Amino acid sequence: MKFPFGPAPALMLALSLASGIWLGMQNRTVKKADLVFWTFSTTHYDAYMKALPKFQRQHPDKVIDVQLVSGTGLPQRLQAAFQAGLTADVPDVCEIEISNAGTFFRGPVDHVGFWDITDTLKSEGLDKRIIGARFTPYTYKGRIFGLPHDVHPVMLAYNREAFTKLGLKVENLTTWESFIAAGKKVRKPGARYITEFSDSGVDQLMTILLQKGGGLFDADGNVTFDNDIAVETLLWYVPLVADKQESQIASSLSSSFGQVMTQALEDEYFLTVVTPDWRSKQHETNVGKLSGKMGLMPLPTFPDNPRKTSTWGGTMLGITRKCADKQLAWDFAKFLYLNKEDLAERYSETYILPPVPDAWNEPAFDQAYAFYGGQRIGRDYATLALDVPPQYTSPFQDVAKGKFGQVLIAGVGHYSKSGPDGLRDFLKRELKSRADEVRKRIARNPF
Amino acid sequence: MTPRGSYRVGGGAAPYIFVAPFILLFLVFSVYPIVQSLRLAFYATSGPQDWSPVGLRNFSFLLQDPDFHKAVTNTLTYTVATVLLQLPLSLGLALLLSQKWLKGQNLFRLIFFSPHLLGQVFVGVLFAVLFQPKYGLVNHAYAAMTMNPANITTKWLGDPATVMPALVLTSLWMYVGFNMIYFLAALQGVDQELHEAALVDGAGTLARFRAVTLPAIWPVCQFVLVTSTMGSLQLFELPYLLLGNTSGPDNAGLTIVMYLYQNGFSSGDLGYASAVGWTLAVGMLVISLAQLRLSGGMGKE
Repeated sequence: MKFPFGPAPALMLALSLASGIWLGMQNRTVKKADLVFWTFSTTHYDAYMKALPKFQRQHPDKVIDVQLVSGTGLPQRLQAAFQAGLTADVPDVCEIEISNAGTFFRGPVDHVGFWDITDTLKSEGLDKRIIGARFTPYTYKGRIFGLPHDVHPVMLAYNREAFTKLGLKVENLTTWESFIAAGKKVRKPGARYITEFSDSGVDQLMTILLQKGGGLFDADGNVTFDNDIAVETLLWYVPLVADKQESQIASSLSSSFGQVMTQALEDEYFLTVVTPDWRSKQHETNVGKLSGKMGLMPLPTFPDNPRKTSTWGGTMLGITRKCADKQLAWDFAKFLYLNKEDLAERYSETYILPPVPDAWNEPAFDQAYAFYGGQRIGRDYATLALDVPPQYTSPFQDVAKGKFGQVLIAGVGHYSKSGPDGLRDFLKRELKSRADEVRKRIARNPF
Repeated sequence: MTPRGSYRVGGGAAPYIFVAPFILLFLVFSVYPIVQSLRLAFYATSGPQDWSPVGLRNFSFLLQDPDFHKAVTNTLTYTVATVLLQLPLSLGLALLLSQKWLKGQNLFRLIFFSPHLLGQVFVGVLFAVLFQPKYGLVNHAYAAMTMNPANITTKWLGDPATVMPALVLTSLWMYVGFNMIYFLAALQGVDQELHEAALVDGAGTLARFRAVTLPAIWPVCQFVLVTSTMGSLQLFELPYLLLGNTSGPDNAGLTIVMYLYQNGFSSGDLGYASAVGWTLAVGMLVISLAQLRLSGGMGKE
């Protein structure tokens, strides 16, 4: 019998059949994982892989697959899978960076892609064991969808050597007023600033806003960045960063990280930088030349608020709704996030303070660090951690952050042109207008 | 001659069977998503369970959305700037490199073309470093050229006023050499006898360019114009990487596709993102048709 389309297609068909049969005959016995866990952080991944054998010993019949997924790719893959209802592409457990968390809370509470852990947390008393403020970024309409990985209290990392050289004393810089006065004294335009504050990005501005008790949203998801606290924060912040102005004490480069920051710290371009706990490790790794010459000090305070810290960054662990074995996932989550010995060991590697105060009694948190001139930075961060402000979230977090940044830029422009005259009214108007834009966006969401 | 029986049997169905895989894939991966995205544009969604019909509200919100307006303005500014600068520069380079007196033509062609081989991702990352205030090479050159040391701290990517010039500059570095290749190919096809005849008639360099070269390469000019415009309107990777995965200060680097991406994949508002996508598609169609009509590319044999 002749093949109807000629010899070439017959050969192609034969080859495809042969290869298909060969592949089918391969006896691959790869056991499907009982729990797939995604993390975006290499540091977390390394630490979890180290801890995994211990968990496996407790659950010998279970296969746990910990995967490192790109930080940009993870939320997008997850978002796409949730949106399309593709359960096969969703892990059982995953870590989400704080700035992405809100975007998963768009629909009705019952349809959020993560498992609601509120009742489980409360029934086991874990809501009392973990710092309450750290649940706020992962709470939506009163329900908690993520276990916090960290507290990320903020201090100022400073160059001890440069401070001594310039006659600056940490004990004299306990208020922002004294800090600004010192900043004016040591400033060398284009060559030296007392701190790194951006005039266009909001990272440092947000830490100040949170320190003052403000925020972009309240606990109910209402926009709050046009309230009095926000106005006062910007009114205070704008003159400090307005380029080439008499009031300027701070500046920024195009990046707060990597080689740029390393060089800037080594050159004493910045004498201090806002440093949450995770960044303290980065300084040690990246700015080796300053070993023994760096120190950490609490944030200076405002007259109306005694808080000496703020927060910057964060990660949550979420269990997805599609997870078949929620008990195993919950046990794994607790093993990673609440086991005191492991938390202490992980702290030693990452310098990230866990949000579990009873773990802070472990000796690791009293370790002295040569890079910071023997300072026990873990204890210092822990002392401040209980005062970390809440950071409420919303699906419109990114939009609000962008709008707040626009007001900062407009404010700096206004100040550079007209000075302090009319700045308050200008900022009030701008904040109201941008906040209303976000409110309009929120009003469009029918869920 | 009678065809062989084997071909006769399958003769009628064979073409359809051979194109079937493509048609199938095209239907599944192109037609279905296009139709679905059009449907999405009339809904507010949050996952597969929550679809709420909103009629034309996604489109009407575009009209009052300042971020979308900013994205459109930025995209059009970039498109006009790159097309107006890029095409003359590409053509100029091609004319220069097609001169017989120039030594090392192939080397220069390679040098000018090579930035395009790097890809937008690499170029974005590279220029983000070059544009660094204080430590970037661009600022060192800028401060030296202007003889003003203060310019070393110019925040090209941190100041809304300089983001677009930085973006256009980066794009020029990448694409001028690429479009130059099209023009070089077109210039090689210009009839030299016409040039010689014009020379005999006493035409100068400019007159020969206008009367001989330009008409001969005009179809290529149209092609480059349309493809450059389309590429510029779909700009995404370059600003996204140059500005560190953001739209830049005050959204100065926000493009339409970036806005689509932000809404669809960061905010999870697929309905609104689809409306942005369809608006862009219609806009591109209109602009392309207008370009072709104005440049005489339509209705001519």
